[in-house]
Amino acid sequence: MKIVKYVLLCVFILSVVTGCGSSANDKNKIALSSSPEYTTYVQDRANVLDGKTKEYLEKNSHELYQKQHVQITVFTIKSLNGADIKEYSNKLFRQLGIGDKDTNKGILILVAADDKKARIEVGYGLEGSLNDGKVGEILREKMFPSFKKKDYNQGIVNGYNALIEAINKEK
Amino acid sequence: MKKIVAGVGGVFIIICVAVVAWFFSSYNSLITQNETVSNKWAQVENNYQRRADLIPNLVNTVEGYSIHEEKIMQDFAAAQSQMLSAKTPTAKAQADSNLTGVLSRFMVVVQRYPELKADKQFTRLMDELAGTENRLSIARKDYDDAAQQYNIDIKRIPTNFIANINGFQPKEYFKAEAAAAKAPTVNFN
Repeated sequence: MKIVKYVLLCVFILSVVTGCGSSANDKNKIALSSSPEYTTYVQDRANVLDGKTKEYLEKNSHELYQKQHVQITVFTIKSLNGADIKEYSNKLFRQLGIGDKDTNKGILILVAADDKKARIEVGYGLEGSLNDGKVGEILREKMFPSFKKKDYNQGIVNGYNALIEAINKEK
Repeated sequence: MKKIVAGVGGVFIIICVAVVAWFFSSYNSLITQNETVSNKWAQVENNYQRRADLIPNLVNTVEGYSIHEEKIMQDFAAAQSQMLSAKTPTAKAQADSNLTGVLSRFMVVVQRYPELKADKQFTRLMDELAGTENRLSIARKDYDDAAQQYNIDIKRIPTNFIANINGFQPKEYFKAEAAAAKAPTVNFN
């Protein structure tokens, strides 16, 4: 009986000594509320998209993922609250885990409506077909003209289609 | 009497086994962390290279526009060859920082050439440069985070004991560096 006690004591001491508590990495997380309305492919948190657009994105993104394992997520927010959009979109991209982990074929289209800022974050696996130059061109030529007129539906759909076209061209 | 001896002996053996097990697991965890830091560093180097590789394209595009800025073109060539010949991490970081300097000056010069600024190819190159700088800053941050975790572990009691006898050295951090190219494609107002 005594031995058991000793052993338990030793185990306890050892676990205290070696217990290097791993620090949670929560400081890098963006606080996001959940809602049944938000899906893997569309999260319209700024309420700028209509039902038709959401349905279109949902259907095509699902198909794209089924066929080519490419995941495109459209994410709208009202404001970045002063955060840098590049850092924000990268954090969000990682946090949502867009694209399969091994292939990294994910795209995040982020629109901060009130800040009038937008960014497309591309995973490693797609950088070949969608380099920064190409992505910049899509933003400038396909999306921003509509965004300026507050037509987020048209802008998102135009940019979205251009992205898919670029991915298919590369194959 | 015999019972007590057996008891003490048993406890001693258990402690020995536990210590050895702890030693191995701590050592292995340090090895894994060391490898993670190296991996993150490789990402940083990839982005250095990527940035340097964009320079010839940039120079070619600029040359299409009878622009007479010999000095800055020579600086680009020098910064690029410095990157190619850099072998150690410090030399690479130095070469990249020189390249950042040349790029910042170039951004100022470019303002004097509106036709160049309107060139499609040039705009795309600027996007690529800004994108690469963004990736570089992410890679640097990832490296710093991994290095910090590793540095904490090799300094903490009792892991520092294992780190010391196996010669694990602390990793250096990056100093925050200002980006040369501003991302042009973000605002739509």
